[in-house]
Amino acid sequence: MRAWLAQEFGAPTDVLRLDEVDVPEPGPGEVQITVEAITINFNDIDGIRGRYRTVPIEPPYIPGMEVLGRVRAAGEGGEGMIGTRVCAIPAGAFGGYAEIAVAPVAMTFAMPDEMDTAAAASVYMPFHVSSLALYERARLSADDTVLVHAAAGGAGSAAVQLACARGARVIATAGGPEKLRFATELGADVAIDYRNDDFVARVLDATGGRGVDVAFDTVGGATTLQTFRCMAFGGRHLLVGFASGIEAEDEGIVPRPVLFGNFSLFGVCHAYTEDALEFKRATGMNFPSHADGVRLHEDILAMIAAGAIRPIVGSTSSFSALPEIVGAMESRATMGRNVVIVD
Amino acid sequence: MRAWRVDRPGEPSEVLRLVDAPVPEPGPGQIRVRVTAAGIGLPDVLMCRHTYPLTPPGSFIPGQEGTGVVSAVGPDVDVALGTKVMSTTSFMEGSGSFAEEYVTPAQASFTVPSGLGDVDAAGFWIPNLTAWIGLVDRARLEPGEWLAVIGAAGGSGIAAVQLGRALGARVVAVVSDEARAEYCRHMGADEGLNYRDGDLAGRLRQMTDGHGVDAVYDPVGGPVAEEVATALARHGRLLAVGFASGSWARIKTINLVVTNTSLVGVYAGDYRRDELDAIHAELSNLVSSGRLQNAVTTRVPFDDLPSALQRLADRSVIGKMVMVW
Repeated sequence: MRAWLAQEFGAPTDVLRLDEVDVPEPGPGEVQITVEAITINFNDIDGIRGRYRTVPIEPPYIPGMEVLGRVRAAGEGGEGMIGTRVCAIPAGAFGGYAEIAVAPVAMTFAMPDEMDTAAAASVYMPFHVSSLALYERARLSADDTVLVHAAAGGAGSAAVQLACARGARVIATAGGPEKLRFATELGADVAIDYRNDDFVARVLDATGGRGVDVAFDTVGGATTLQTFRCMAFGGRHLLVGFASGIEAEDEGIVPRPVLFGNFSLFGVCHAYTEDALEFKRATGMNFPSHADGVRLHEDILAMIAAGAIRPIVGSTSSFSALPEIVGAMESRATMGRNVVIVD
Repeated sequence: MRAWRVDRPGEPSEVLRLVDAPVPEPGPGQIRVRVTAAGIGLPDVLMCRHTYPLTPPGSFIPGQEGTGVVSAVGPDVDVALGTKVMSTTSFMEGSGSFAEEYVTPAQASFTVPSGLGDVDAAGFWIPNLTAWIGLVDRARLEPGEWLAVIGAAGGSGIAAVQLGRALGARVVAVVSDEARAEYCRHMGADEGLNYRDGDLAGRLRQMTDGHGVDAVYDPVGGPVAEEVATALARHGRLLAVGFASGSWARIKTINLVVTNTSLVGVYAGDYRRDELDAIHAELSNLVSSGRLQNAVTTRVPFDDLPSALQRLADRSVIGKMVMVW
């Protein structure tokens, strides 16, 4: 089968090479998927750059943490999914830049056959992450004001929509007029250009000095620390990702500003497991179960069917043009989701 | 009036000076309280050292809370002289409760809960208010959830142990020796763990059948808090209440993310009077129905205050101390 391999760590357009490799076989609890489309994530870029901490890997390897496709074979426990169209996170969160990928059943969810390829490929990561963050961790209500950073990005655009669907007031940050316009179209009540404006001052202005009840933060680093200053009394600051670079997180934070601000920092991790307690015993991590994920997935599909939210396709590319779109995403030149069709 | 005053930073036994200080005059909105008893807490030690964030500049009388009777009122204050009160003090302006009298905003004084004597009530309000804000308001602790309390044998910790128990949580006291563990069990903790025995996170997970603890009440900070945080369950809340160890816990944001847990700030200073009244009513109910006991273990005569504060500084006190006249 054909696959894109990162030959070494470096810039995506420099180190990704198309190659012919062996087809991966599914083990117990895994499914083998004929890939219909690949969706690019920032974690892919962290991996290619050699700074992905969650699952360390050495090149050469096949990046790619999100695929849409159809289950063609399965190991023990996954047989029931054979023939089903699915979205999935491949095993270890890599291996997706390929014609065939293997994914754990726990990270695989059914998709409707009739949904357009690019739209279907744009659903999984942003809506699962945003729903886990806003609905499950922060228990968002219509009374809340929500600050969404990087609101034109994959996760951010989903978060704006889910917050609006719940009736919350949304303040969005993004870079440049086009992204601001897009955030407003999605339903944001206030849109702030973080490149030209002091977003802390603007958020405080927009809330009468009170600050926001919930912050959706996929950026990390200095942005996280600045966001502390616009949290309302009792606010929930959702730590969802570290797009500004995971290196900045090594230092850790001390609770002093969190204590005197009377707000909370909520860690949000999107990953499901078949046996949550056994997984905790082995790793110390707390993941929701696959059954939790299935319920959440069905809610998202129902909201899409009802027109309450929509997947945001930013671009579609052919399989041969994959490195270019990964590079464009790294340089912040894209909006919404970037989908690569396996043609 | 007689008072203990701090004129320079240092250890309590060295810098607390017995002085004849002027009786403070209540300003607008303030009352003056003739002290019956005063709560003693670690912040008093930190104020002697000038390491507490709210330490006033210059000379000051420490003592953050007390009970007594109203002896004078400022302009526009409608409180009868002789009224018994339980209150925080204007320690940030230098008028603390380690004296014959202190002043405080009338808005900061409350009735003594029925069922508590004046001495017991003197050390009740700050620890229990903070524990209520942390466990109820901020952590939304549910009956049956697992609560770990760090520094559980201290004045702040033991209030959280008792309130956690009164709220129906299963309480694990995390302490530094067996005597403190025994004290906490006696005061209502389901379990007592000595962190010096090692593998604290592993033992907490084992104790909870792999589930982990749902909330951690942390007035201590430092490495113990960092380790207990790794035993949090999904949706677990680490309540940052203080830094009795002298250092905050250093929390990695990435660890909050991969464990789906939260770091929750708990600060009692910003609450409105109507919110405080509601909490006062809830706590008073728990006391009068016998579900919340007072935790005063040691009564310290006024003259012995410096040595008592020094014992607190040296970590040799178990439970809550109150200064009495």
